[in-house]
Amino acid sequence: MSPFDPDEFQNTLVSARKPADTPPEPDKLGHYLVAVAGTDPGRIDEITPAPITIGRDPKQTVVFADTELSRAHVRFWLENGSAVVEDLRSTNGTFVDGRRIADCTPLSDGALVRAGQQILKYERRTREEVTRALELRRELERAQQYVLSQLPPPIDGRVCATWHFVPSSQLGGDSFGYGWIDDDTFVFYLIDVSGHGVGAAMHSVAVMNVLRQRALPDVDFADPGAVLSNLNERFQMDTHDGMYFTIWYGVYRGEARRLVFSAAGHHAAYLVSGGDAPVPIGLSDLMIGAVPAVTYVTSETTLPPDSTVYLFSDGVFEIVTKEEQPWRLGDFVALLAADNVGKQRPTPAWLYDSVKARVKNGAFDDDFSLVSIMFA
Amino acid sequence: MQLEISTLGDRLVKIALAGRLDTQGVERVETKFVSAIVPQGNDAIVDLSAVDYITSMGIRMLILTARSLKLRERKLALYGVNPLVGEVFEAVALQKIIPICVTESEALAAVQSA
Repeated sequence: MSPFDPDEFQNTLVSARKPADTPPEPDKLGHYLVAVAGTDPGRIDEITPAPITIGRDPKQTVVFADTELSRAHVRFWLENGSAVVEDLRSTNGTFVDGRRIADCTPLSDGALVRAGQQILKYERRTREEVTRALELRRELERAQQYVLSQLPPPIDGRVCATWHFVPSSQLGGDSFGYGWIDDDTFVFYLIDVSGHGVGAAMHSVAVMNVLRQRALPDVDFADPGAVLSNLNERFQMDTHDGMYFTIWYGVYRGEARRLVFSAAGHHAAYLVSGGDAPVPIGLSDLMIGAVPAVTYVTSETTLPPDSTVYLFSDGVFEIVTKEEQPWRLGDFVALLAADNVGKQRPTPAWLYDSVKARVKNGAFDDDFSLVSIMFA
Repeated sequence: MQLEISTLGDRLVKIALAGRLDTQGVERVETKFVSAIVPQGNDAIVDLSAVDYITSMGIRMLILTARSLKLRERKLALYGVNPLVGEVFEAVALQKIIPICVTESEALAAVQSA
């Protein structure tokens, strides 16, 4: 089992209480378990005198889709007004503040309980605070649905595009788009706004809509450098709540098989063709919004027949593994080699599953956005 | 994530950061980092030799600070960047807006240049 750092989750609150507020009376505080990491971060369950059981069996009170959990793994209940936890002889054990427990163990406010990939924080909160936290969570879920509704459907034809997008629990600022702008010219791009939350997500969708509707006057959308330079003038971070964004923008000319591209603060996309190793397609340049009056350059390359370009956000590879090792871009790029999955090229869904299997606690800190574009 | 502030002279501070400059790391140090530099209009050099990981939130903190200092005609320089962090800086071309130096003396020279 991988260790974890209890301090990492100490800033997680059901909701923030203003310092000047009078602390609520203890008898008005409920006992709650807040999922701070795992398969359903943000989930809140109340601990009551009647035990709540947690496991992967649907018969349990709380069920997580977590293969590291036993069918009935752990239970919590209130005894004389105090919360108690007991491991149900689970295979992988239950840990309180990093120590494996053997017997019934009382919990102190803020204790972190780990069972399988789930990390649950025990908190004393008022019902009103919990209600507000759940409302905020619902708002995030609605924002996630909105972002998903704005993403393009997969397409087939001379160019096939598929993708896998999984927003993080706090909602990152990823979005992407693609489409033909004339019979021969195919445009595709991916945007990653700094930060998390509804604000970053809405900013990202706003930029995506500008591109999708080609709402930059007097800009040639087949000229990546012109598009990025114009976006940079419109989206300076001091007029957009301190948010900048990275973008990779490519334009494919079908008849000539040429790909022209620009990048602003975004790592390379990767080209896979034949049995060759993935080839980076990128340029090092400033992110959009950092400073005004940047002229973005373009570069170009030829796409061989039957080639695939993978375009993705940093949330795909900025992970910490179960072995507590930070990943680098190269670790992810190694997965793109076609022979990982027989003679097929990796699909976005396969790549997601492959990375998720390596992520500490099974939960991504950032959006996972990966677009695969196949050029016949 | 840890932060240590040293005053090197009149309106000149050195800040040593240590740990992971990711979302959680930035949440822990951003207020202290910014308040040690920006309100007083200090020039600042930042020792990143003990920072082993950085994400977009860490880069955002550095850029916002550099922008605020520029408005006050002051400067920020970074030094001691490890290869993993340097790889990220290179991808976003951070050196175009913040000097990235090898040694402390080079960083001092960068903020003290006209």
